[in-house]
Amino acid sequence: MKNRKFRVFAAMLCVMMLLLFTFSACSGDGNTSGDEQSTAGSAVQTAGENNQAGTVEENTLPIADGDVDLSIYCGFAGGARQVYNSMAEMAVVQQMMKETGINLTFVHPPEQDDGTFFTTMIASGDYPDIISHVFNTYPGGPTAAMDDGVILDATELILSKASYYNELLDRLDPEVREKKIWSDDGRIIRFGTVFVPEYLDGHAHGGFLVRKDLLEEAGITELPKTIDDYEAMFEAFQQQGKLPWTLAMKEWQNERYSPVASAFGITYRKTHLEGDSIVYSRTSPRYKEYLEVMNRWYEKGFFNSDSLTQLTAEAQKKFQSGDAGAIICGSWEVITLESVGQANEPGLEVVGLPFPRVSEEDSVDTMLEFFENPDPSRSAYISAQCENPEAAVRFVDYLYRPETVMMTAWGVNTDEYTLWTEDESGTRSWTEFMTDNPDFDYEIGRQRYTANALQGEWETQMEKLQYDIPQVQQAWSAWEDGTTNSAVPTRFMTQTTEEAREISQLLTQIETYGDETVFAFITGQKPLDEFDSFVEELKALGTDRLCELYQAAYDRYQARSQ
Amino acid sequence: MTTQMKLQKKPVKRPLFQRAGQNIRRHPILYLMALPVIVYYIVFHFLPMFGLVISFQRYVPSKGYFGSEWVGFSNFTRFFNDVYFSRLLINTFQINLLDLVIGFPFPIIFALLLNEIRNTSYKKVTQTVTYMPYFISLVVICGLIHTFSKENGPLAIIISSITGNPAQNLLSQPSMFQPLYVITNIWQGFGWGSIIYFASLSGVDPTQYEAAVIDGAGRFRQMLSVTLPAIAPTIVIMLILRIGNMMSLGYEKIILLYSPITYSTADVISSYVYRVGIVQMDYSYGAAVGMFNSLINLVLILLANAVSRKINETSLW
Repeated sequence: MKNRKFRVFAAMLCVMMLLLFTFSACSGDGNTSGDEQSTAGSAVQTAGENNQAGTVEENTLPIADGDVDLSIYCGFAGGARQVYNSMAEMAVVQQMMKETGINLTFVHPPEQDDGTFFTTMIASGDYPDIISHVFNTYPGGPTAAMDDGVILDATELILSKASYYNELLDRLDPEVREKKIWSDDGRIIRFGTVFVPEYLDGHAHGGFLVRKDLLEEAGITELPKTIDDYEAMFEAFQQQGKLPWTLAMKEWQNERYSPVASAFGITYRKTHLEGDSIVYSRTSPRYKEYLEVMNRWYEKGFFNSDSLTQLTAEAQKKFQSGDAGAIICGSWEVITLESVGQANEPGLEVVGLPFPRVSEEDSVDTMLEFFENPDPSRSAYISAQCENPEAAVRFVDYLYRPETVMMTAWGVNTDEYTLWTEDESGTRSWTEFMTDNPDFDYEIGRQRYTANALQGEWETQMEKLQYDIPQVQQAWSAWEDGTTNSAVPTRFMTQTTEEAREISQLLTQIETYGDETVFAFITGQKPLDEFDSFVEELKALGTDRLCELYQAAYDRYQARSQ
Repeated sequence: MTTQMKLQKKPVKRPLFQRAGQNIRRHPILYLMALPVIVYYIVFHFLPMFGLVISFQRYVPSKGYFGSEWVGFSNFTRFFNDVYFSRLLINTFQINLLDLVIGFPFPIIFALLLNEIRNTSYKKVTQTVTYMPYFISLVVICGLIHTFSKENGPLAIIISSITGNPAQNLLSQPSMFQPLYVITNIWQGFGWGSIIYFASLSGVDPTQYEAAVIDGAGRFRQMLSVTLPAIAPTIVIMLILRIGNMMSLGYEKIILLYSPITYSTADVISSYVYRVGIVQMDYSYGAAVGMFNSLINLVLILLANAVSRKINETSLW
């Protein structure tokens, strides 16, 4: 009898636990946000009516007296995750709470999240007060999100209360204030974006990096600049027994920098400008010239079939192992490539090359990627459920305050540890706690003690530490030699929901067919005299309509003026 | 004789509700154990079926089910009219068929063969080693495949020595994609898949073997006449279930391995819709395509079940 009772009890216990686990999965995350969307919205509008454009109230501290709560959605770096539950526990953030008088709570996506957490959060209907995100994955972008009642149009508040933001805009190129921060219908959509300091502004993002030691061995004294120069260099690398170019054709570098394609005034995979008209590069006759060069280089073995499938990491490993002569990389990768490469092959040295062009005096105008303002990554949006939008706007604006920028970039020194020291001239440097710590390396330290996700501007001194190195400075001067982005449409244009839908459908077809056939042309599987039928096929798939849609967005961008 | 038969009472069939109640009272613990699983299926699989309504709408999360615009079949027609629709369908089907024809018998044959081994420690070690790959993350497996398929990697060199062509990265050859995909699937999954067949093999009546030996059957004949028929019901059930997945193919492995040069054989429905989706979060489109896939799968599994019932009386229902 007893035995049976015990077994029943054990079985019940197991069942209870199973049920508990099942239900815990469907419970919400406990956020209690009311449905007070409309009241907050109308508050913003009345505030707007009371303020005239152009008069900015100075944003003073503290913003509140500990009676305002704001929840923030933003990224949370891995190094910090190891020791904190959320950013609220970080010393930097606690200092911010003291200075502003606002209680902050955080919602963070999981590490390495691919965007699913954000979409789930939006779908749940429960939004944190400040959402720091790109919002380009929301159908129709931030303006559609405003129309749908997810986020607020905070334009009036920003123009009247965000003094630090306005001051920053005054310092920058006028086009930023006039066009880049706006949507087509007069709403600010780039508030809370990271800005690039003058030190970085306008500099090249990346380009060709080759082995300086191999060049010297081959007796090449002048940096290759034309396509013929490049060919001679690749041949020399081949004779030295190296893979001349470790290229990852389907990766972002090829797409964003359009190497070799830019020599012909076109992009590898996107659109370029001819005058004021947008043209899909692959339908241009000059694209054939690009394909001829690439096909010739493939036949000669300057890059091999691995290029067709490999990812950036593999291409970099090849370069770092010393077996490759050239690679395309970003400015922040130069030092890593060289130092890891030197561990494998001592004597390895890198040098940046100007982008290849047809003749010496040509300029390269279809570079898509420069450091420019504002940085196109995250922006901060105020949720429609926020109870105190004015405090939210003022908090985001506070992040642009120069002292706050220093704080988020360098962290705060506490009683327990000292991160940085500052000398009389105001120059800061890291202490050994950060640079030589046995418990963590520099990158982790930065993630743990600085608040990157809340930074309003990349801090100049910090950036100099990373880029004020001879190799990077040389690379910049080479990559910027005759390079502009004047022949590509701006990336700050926006599409309506309808346009975006049509573009996505067209683009998938066009890019599927385009990528496949381009690869086939380059490897020689398809002969180049079929190029004309390739263009016809692309047009049949809708490239003209695609250009029409882009053109409409571009014209609206040009018409923006504030 | 007939009067006697008439006098025998016909058993009364009680209504289902009463029979169910009686059954529950007789085996309470079994039902209690099944309860969480039943709840799980209701909450996570049946209730969400209502969400399929978004495939007929232009779903916007903040507007919800009732606020989003109704568009009827336009999501479906958009999918059917796509230039690549037929290619995607063919590729999905082809890969699944290859996986079925080659990959399905593999675990069965493996289980049968391993069953013949007498040395139990060798048997156990082999079993453990063969189902270890199943637990390796897919991303790691694909990394391995990439490395091995490189131009100077072992697989490429082997293939080139067989075909006589110069060594080329395997993943850059459309003709090699599907075989590579299926073979690595088999490699990763056959150990784990054979477990269920081992389970069913252990249930074979040993006296049957003795009877076969007396009749003069050798090892191979025994396998054909005793073992195989004994596990036939398991095989048929697994086959029916497998056929019910013919239209679905997860996009993860495809995306990790494909490249524009292999789109012609590698691009399947799920990977294509994934590319459409990364430009914007088009839930309705994804839901419509998913629903289309599920409907086809349903038809296939019903057919397979009916055919199986006709042929050998074994069926899922």
